[in-house]
Amino acid sequence: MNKRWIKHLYEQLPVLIDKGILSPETVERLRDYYGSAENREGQRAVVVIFSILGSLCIGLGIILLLAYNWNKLPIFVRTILSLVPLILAQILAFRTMLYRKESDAWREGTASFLFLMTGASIALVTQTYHIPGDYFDFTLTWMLLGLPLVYLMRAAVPAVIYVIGITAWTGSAKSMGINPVFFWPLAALIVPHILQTARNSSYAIRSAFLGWAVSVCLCIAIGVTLAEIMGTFGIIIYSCFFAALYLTGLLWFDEDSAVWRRPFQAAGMLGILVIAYVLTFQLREWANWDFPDFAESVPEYILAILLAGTYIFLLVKFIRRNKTAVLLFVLLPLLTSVIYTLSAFPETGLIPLLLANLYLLALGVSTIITGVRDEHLETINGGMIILIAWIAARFFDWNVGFIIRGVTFIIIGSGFLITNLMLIRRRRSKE
Amino acid sequence: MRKTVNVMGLFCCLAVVQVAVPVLMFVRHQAVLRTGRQFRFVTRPVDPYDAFRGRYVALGVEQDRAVIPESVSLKRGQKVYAFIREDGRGFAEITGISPGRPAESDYIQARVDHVKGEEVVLRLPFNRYYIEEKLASAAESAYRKHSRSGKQDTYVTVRVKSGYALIEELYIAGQPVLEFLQENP
Repeated sequence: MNKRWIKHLYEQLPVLIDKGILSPETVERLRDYYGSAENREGQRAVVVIFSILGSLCIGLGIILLLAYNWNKLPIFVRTILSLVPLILAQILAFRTMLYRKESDAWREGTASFLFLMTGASIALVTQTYHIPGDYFDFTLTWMLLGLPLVYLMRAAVPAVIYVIGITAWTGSAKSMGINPVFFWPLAALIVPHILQTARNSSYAIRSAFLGWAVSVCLCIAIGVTLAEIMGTFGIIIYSCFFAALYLTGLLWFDEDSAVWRRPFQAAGMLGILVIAYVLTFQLREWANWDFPDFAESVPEYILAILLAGTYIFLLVKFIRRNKTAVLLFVLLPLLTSVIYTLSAFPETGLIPLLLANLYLLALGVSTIITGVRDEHLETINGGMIILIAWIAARFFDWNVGFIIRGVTFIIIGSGFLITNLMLIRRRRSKE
Repeated sequence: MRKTVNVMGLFCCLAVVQVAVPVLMFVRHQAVLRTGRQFRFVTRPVDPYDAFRGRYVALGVEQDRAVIPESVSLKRGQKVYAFIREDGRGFAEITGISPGRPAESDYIQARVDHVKGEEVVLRLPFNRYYIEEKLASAAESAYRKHSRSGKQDTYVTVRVKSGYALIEELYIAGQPVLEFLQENP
């Protein structure tokens, strides 16, 4: 539970005792149950963060010094110098695992340092001997050598480096004309660690950090690995991806109250809103219905089907848990598919556009209603932002005539005012 | 306790592998230098924007293309093997390519950069020469100037063995690059 809430609760306890609502014994049991209200997690986090930053800076500084490529030194000496930082980092990590394995700061710091020194060592030997090889060979080797540190030392920062590294590898491979589909088996190797950090409350901040890295990197990797079919199916693919991300957050990473500590939900929702917003513009003017040849893009089609299957699986699981309040958000892929298909046929006229705009409006209104019901100001503000963005987009949308826009705005505005009136009357009748 | 021993054991194995990778790179390098056959590749000028990236000189070689064999279709990024031999002037030339590893000894593993008509342009593995930061700019200017001169006195010596090729030295005006820069500051 959030330490601020516990602190607030403890501040209320004397008042509750005075008013006879709680007995002193109950208060004692409450204190035993929730523990200290001191934000020790925050203090511990600072130590860990400083340890990580310190080791990363030292590691990068060593890389820069050694990359100077001292031609005056004999080649054999340069080889030894290339290996010394790696061996020192290994000794540090070994000692940490022997004597300080319970210290998050030591584990994270030494694991990050060792991860960096592994890459530095390979890069320096390559540079010293002009050993041929491309970035993607180097990156892949480095990441695979560093990945075991994530599990052996139970460290989240090497996991973040790994996720970023394999994403960079994907881009590099694609630019070389090599199929980057191997990204997905590589990404699967880090999944056990993500699940482990999510279950362990002491990883809370690092889990959030890793979650954000995974969300952003997956977003990039989807675009790169499915590039061959993105032109036609991009918007549907990304709808499935963001909805799946959002559902993953709702189903398994929903413990914390702060939005930034629920990265899958936050990134997923952001993506859903962006796509819903984009759909409200005339799809016919920029969408592409040229289907890529199946024989040329088999891995991409298979991946896209797997993504859609993952989304459907998560959706069914979500519905079974009966969290209907946010169902509207996760229906985006279905709506996108319908709108995209309808837009391919000019006979459908303005129907796709209407559906898209109604959906975005519904998202905004439902978010506000949820915020009002839960008395959560941030949610209400989020809903307002959605609606204001929609209003701004439609007001300046020159593709829709003045009359239609004018009438639509008046109807919607009247709807808001009537709803407001009804809510006020209902509240008065309750009072 | 047993779990700790297992984890420490795995860590030691990982540490050995991490050190082994750069060491094996060094060992292979030495083996190719000692027993590989030397070829000289005439260099060509490289776009100034690409020529200097940090602490290496980006190299281009004149011999970087081959005729596509009949009934072979190639895709960008595909791994191929380029046959090489010495021409009459003592410089290397590519005589053909094969999609699979050939049985003959003098070949280099490369990748398809792009296909141009009946020719394939290759991305050869020796495309950068690492040099000290202070010297890189001078090396790059000298390299480009001499590559353009048409005198064929700018070339790289490459050791080749079983498809693996590594740069031995970059020569400008017939001299190793560091010697050239010392005499022509």
